[in-house]
Amino acid sequence: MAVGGVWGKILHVDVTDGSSWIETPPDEIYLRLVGGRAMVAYLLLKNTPAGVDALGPDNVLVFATGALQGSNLPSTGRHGVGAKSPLTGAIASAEAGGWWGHEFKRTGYDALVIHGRAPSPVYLVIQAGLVGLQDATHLWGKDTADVQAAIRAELGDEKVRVAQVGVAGENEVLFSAILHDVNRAAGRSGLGAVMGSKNLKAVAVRGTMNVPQADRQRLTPVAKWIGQNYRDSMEWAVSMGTPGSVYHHEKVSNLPVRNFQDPRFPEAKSIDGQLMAATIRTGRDTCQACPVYCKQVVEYQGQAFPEQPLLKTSLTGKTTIEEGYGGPEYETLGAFGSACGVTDLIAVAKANELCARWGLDTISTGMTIAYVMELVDRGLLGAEQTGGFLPRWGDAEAVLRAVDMIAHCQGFGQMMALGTKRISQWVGQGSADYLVEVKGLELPMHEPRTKVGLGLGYAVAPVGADHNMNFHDGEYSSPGGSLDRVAAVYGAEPMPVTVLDKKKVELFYHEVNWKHFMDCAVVCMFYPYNYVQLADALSGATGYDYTPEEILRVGERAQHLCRLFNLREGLTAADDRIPKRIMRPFAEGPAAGVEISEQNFLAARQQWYALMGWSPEGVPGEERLSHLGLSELLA
Amino acid sequence: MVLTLVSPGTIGEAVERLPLSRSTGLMILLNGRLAGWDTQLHDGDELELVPVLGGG
Repeated sequence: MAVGGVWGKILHVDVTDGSSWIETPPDEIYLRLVGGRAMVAYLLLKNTPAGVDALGPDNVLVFATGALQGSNLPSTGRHGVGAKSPLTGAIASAEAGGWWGHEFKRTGYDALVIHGRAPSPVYLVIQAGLVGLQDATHLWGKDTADVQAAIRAELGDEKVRVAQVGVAGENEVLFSAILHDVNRAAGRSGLGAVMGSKNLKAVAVRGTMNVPQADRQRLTPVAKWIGQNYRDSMEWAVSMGTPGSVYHHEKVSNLPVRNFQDPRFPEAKSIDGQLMAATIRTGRDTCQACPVYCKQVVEYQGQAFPEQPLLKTSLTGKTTIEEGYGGPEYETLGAFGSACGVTDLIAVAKANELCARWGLDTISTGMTIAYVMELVDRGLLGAEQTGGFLPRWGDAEAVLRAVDMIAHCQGFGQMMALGTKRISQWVGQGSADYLVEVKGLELPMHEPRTKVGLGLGYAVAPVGADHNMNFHDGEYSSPGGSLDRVAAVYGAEPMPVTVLDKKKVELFYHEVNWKHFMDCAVVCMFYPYNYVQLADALSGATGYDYTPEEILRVGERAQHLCRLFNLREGLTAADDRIPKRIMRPFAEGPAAGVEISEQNFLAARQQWYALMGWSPEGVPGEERLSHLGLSELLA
Repeated sequence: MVLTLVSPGTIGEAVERLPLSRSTGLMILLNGRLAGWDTQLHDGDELELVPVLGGG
């Protein structure tokens, strides 16, 4: 292999009969796609027929590392996972941190493609040059921590890393996740259901090989820089991690409240990281090669916290939370907290633990419960439809019951397991007015009425409403930081968060390309690297010269490949939209009167399509496909 | 804190005088409403700078 940083090998396994084969793509594939999302989309286009059933044996499940995985550059201990989504019908493409991706890359493969459907539950082992299926009948229905422990014991190696579905994935809950190390989720779009539909309980990996780097000297200055600067430039992550931002997000009306109905949540401090740190947080965790330790670890033994008046829980003495499942991050605190009107931190942390234990996406789970709460509140859902389950805003114990019902598909949980869009189709009666999803994927915990560029971002992201591959206006509203990063290719002045004009869309185009590139190299989005630094790092890993312009083209390629997949699966420009509720301005609060009008949105979408070289209908043009080298790769 | 400006200016001009160290983006509230870097300040205005993360 002439390209450094990769092995030049993609492992395919058909779980129907246990057969496996190795694909050796040409160098061009690695150089142009780099890995992660672009590789996922390419392999999906190549290995699935048009109109493939997302939960059928012909869908493939792809795990893809990036060319920087194995370099030990801080931020690169991640990998991508993808398939056709059973929730949205579009591409599913999620990333996970932790240790699994690193261990997998050290087995000598860059990506793994799972085909078929096993006749009975199995787990896949990739270890010491061997690839094989093991019976998993005895693991079916078990909690993720128990499954991980059992697999390690069976293989006689505590260093085995496990990616797995929980009971929710086995039950094909449409927003079930794939858990890695039991607490790192490839969370969104129902990848767990795809894995569960294949009767594949887990993928256990143990690698021993170091990935060759073409020119480590080009990587070293970047690694050195972050080593010297992360304490200051990532101070928020070092000190508190994402939960420390709940209160701040509420202050600017960015924290969703009661299914995105209300602009304020005065009780925000009751679900904020400060309170968590003072009560149930017992430690911090990190990913491979990352010195930051941003992740939360919590534990609860049922005790009361009389010295903490903000911690109001009805669960004292009634529940415990296991430390091994990590702790809630910002998205989860919002989804089970403010989005459901819940102020009970113990219940939110318990809901997080249950999602890791049973393999659920915390965002879609919380938002589905919030949606059901709203329909109950508005009298659109009654006891006769829900079997008597009538959760009300703020009912923390109902949230926990709902998570259980969803994961196990019990009672009304069978309907909730389908997500908000399908619930609305079933309920009818104008319930669609209260939906907060794009392409069927529920909105994450960032309010587009306070960040209007993100509204466009939710609309056009290939997976539906996703915050990670996206544009957050607050990064560009003051000098420095992200604007300095963009300056390598595009000079821009600070822009108000509430404006979506031509300059904002141009900036959006560059930065969204960058975010997608990050998910191809599979670099953590929290790291403050700039375009030049990651171009240098990728050059060092691969031995080929990347410029800032070229790494942005990688991100653009990823979006083109995702778009081609989505168009093939029947999605159109009509699916690139903003939920109705979000287009109605708040009457009060910091964002009062901020409106993303239909006219403003459509003009911005049209401008972005044009910047992407797409037709007014959102179809990629031959000229851009050729310029990006994709016509050749897809021929 | 109270910031005394010799002549009215923009939020950006005022903020640039502050010894800020930050590791996130900033969102700006002027009298409780979202505002931009170029928004004009007036006597008695209340300005809040809120650090915000992009993801999580």
